[in-house]
Amino acid sequence: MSNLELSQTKQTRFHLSLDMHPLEMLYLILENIGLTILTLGLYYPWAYAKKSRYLWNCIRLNGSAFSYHGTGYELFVGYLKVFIFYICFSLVVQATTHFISPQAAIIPTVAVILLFIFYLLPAIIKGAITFRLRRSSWLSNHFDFKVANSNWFWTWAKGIVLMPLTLYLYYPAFEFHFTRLTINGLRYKNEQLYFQASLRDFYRMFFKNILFTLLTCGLYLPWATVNKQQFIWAHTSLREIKFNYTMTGYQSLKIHLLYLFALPISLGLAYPWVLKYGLENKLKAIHLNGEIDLFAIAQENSSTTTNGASSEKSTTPSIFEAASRLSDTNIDIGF
Amino acid sequence: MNNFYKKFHHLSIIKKILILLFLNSIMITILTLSIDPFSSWLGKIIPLAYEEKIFNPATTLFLKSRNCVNPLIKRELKQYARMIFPENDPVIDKIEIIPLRIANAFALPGGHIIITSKLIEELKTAEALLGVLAHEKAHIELRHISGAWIRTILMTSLWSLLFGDISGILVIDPMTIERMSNLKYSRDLELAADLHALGILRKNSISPQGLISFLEKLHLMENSPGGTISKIHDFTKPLLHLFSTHPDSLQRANLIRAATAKWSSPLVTTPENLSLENWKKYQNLISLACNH
Repeated sequence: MSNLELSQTKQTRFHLSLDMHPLEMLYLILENIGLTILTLGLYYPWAYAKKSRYLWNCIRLNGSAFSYHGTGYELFVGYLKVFIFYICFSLVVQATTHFISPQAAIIPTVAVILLFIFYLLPAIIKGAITFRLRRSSWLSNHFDFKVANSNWFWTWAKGIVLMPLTLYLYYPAFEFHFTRLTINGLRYKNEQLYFQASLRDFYRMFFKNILFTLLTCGLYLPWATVNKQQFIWAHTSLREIKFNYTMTGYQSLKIHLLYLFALPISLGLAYPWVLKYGLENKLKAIHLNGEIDLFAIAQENSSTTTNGASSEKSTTPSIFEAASRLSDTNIDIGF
Repeated sequence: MNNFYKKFHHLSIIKKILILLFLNSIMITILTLSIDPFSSWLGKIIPLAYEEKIFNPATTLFLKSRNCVNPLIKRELKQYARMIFPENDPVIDKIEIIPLRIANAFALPGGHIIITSKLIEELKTAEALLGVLAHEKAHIELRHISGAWIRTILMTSLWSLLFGDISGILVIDPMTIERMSNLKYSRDLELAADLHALGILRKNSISPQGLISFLEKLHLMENSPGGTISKIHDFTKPLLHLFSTHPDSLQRANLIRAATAKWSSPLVTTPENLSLENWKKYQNLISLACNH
């Protein structure tokens, strides 16, 4: 760490920035596509790891870059495990159809669907968040995700059962509890993030968004998205640091419109520029205010080895990351 | 090779991007163009029995609660089918009529043919029924279902691998292009099945006029007030052919007519059990059994 960085102790303002070169990104994407085709898809996990490494490395907090340490090989093993699981499931269904009766195949199918909804899906989400955070670091210190399994699965199962029973009136509560669990589970070294808000305020924000979106025939959607993000950031803290999100609905609309028009017109080639514009604006809008020495926290009793590998790395199976990508589970951890 | 690699890495980033863009375009074009013939070839290799085994749970469930035919209807249906199917063809036993107020017929995996009761009502002659059966038989013989299934798997995998990372954040999902190409493939298969059906009808001395008339009627029904196409706004009608699983019915009728025009003499069929009287009786039987 440089002397300049060390002198930044007890800061009151922190800023996130993006140092991305769209041409480099475009080259990386094209190289990934080419190698994925040449290897008939086998290169995909390596391509994903490479892209993630590049993107994380472009994001900076007060000038210091984040890092991604996931490797193509471990992701490949994850995909392989998901594939084996799928083959086993198909074999069970086929065997039931063949040896018992076609109708009996409903039993393993329904069992797997229930298992997927109540166990696998929350496990995939939790596992994928854990995998991504444990593979990410800032100033050589890894992030982590710690949530008690009982809390996680209970919140999920309660939501899945109560939502249809309450005609989805429970949905905001489900989202609120799940957001709180997720944010409270985020760790940087031993520091925990906290989400403290009242459910009533969340409901108020949620129904206001729904009402305005309906009244404006959907035009309010970018503002609604921003409102929710602002609410979440405003109620999140890390020690004395408070967050706030200053993106406006109008800026969000501009980003949406850019995605809508620039990409089809450029046949996707403008993707790195559009991505940079969107991500840069989102990062700029996140503000961290409070008197804290983040650099000192980063230096306290580092649990990582010299090459940045966490001791907990081996305990996070990449199968969840692979499953989350295959099942298209949207995991948004802030960026 | 090593030398080429070194030279490539010393090029400016713009040049490298242009080279990769060119190479990737060639590879994607070759891959995309080869998927259709490859899937059709692979689809023909997969035994029909295996296809049935894979999809049997779904097919059985679909048919279980929807069958409305009694033994008499079934026996007559088999008699009609025998005019274009070989005597011992197992597909004959897998032709079903389901009670549905939409005129449609389709082939299911494993060689099942489904005809809706509404379609039987709309067909003016038994010749038209044989035309429809020949079209579905063509789908089975050409192994269109397994071919389309393999193509969907290959195309979805290819596009997910290449553009999956981007699709999550795009407003217009690139997978839409893949889905549209599947629809185009589906329309191509329909035309191929029409032409193959023509061969089946000719081989069995059945005139294709019934099928042509039915397709023309279908076109009129779709475009008449209240029909499926009439509900679509004029502004979006030109785009309809891009999002449809079937080609325009009139286009299909014209294609069949153009193909039959090349025949040396027109084909006329009048076997006794294809009489209009028998057909009307059969339609009444089905109406009573399926439209309670």
